[in-house]
Order: sequence, then C-alpha cells, then structure tokens
Amino acid sequence: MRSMLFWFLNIVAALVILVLLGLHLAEMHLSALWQYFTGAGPNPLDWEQVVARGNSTTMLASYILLLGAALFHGFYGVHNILVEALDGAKAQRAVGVLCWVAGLALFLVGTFVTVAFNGA
Amino acid sequence: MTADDRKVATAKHDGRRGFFAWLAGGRRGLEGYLYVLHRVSGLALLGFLVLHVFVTSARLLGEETWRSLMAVTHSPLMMALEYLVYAAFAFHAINGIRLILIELGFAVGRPDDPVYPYEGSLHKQRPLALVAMVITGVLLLLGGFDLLHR
Repeated sequence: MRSMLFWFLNIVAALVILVLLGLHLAEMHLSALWQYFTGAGPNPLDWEQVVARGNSTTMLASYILLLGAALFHGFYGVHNILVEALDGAKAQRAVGVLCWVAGLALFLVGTFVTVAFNGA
Repeated sequence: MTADDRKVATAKHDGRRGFFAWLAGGRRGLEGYLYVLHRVSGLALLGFLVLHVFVTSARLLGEETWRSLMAVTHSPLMMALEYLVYAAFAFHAINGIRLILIELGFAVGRPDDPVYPYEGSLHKQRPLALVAMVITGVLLLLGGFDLLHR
C-alpha cells in the first residue's frame, strides 16, 4: 500500500516538476527565447530581479513546492535504482532511510534559504 | 538438480545485473536505450539540483557575492554545461510523459496474445517513442537557438 502511494506521489511530483521547472527553465535559462514571446525585459538573473522574486509570496510558494517535488521525484528514482542493484532486505532498507534523510536535509536547506531571503 | 546447480541457476536468472546491465548494448531496442538515458539524465539532474540548492544560497550573502557568482556562470564552459542540463531536462520530461502514458495504460494497445511480433509494441509503443524523440529534438534545437542568440 505504501509503495503504491509513493508511486502515485512520484507521478504527481513529475507533473508538478514538468510545469514549474518548465516555466523556471524557460524564464531563467532560455531568456532569449522567452523574451522573444513575452517582449524584451530585464535579465532575470540581475540582482534587482532576484530580490523582486525573493519578495514575492507566489514565487516563494512555487520554489518550495518545486523543491519538494523535485527532491521526492529524484530520490524516489535513486532509491529504485539502488534497490534494483542491491541484494538483501537490510541494504535496501538502509538505502530507503538514506534517501529520506538526504532528501529532507536538502529540503530544509533550500526552504531555509528561500524563506530567509524572502524576509531579508 | 543438486544444490550447486540450483545456486548457479538462481545466480544466472535472478535479474540483478546491476549497473553493468545499463552498459550492455547488443540487441536492445530503442526503448531499452531510452531506459538507460532516462536514468542517466535523472541522476545528472538530481546532481545538478543538489549543486543548484547550494549555489543559489549565495544570494543570502548579498549583492556582491551574487554578481561575482553570476559572472562565473557566463563563461562559455558554464553555458555549455547549462545547455546540457537543459537537454537532460528536455529529454527526461518528454520521455517521462511517454512512460506515464504507458504506465497508466494509454499507449499499450488492446490486450492480445503474446505472439511475436508484438502488435502493441510495434504499432503503439514504438511510434510513441519516436514521436517523443522528435519533440525532444525540437526542444534541443530551440535551446540551441537561445544559446546562440544571447
């Protein structure tokens, strides 16, 4: 039952990433193409733009949602790869625990930075 | 069958070939190569995400640090690496949509006798894989266009 829930969450996370990371990549890393369609604007990596995004509650929520979805999806994949490669229930359980610890630690770091910058 | 025979048979057919199976080429079909690329691109994207979390944390250190960091990312090498990240995302996303469609049963065809050549594989899954790769190719070209026009 738990594995089915994780499988379902993995697909939901994939769809969240598809939308949010697609938009993030289009704006940040395809800026020439993005501005071709949306009109010329400032460089999204300029400090003023970074501060403006950092102070937006919508951006804060979307960053945290994207971070959570990406870490869950990524570590779910790593877990599956390692469980396939490793033999033994103990090793497989250890991989599961390590993936959760690493994912949660990165989520806490990323969320702390996003929230701290929002209040700065 | 002796105990030793059983051990050999189990070792041979337990399906755990590990990471080396990814490197085995031979008569693997298109979807087999996409499976390997999906995993490799996924691992690369996760590695980049971890790096990205720490690099973007630099904004907490103030404007000067941010500006000097961004100056580094504008070198040709970093721009090429940025394109690789974009390419990994484009492939992983489009191939992921293909996998979700198959996993949810939308692109596997009707249940049929498992007789070679498998109709579902040939007329549903293979065309879907080809369409997914064409879309990926178009996205890679758009990314390349962007890189050249910055």
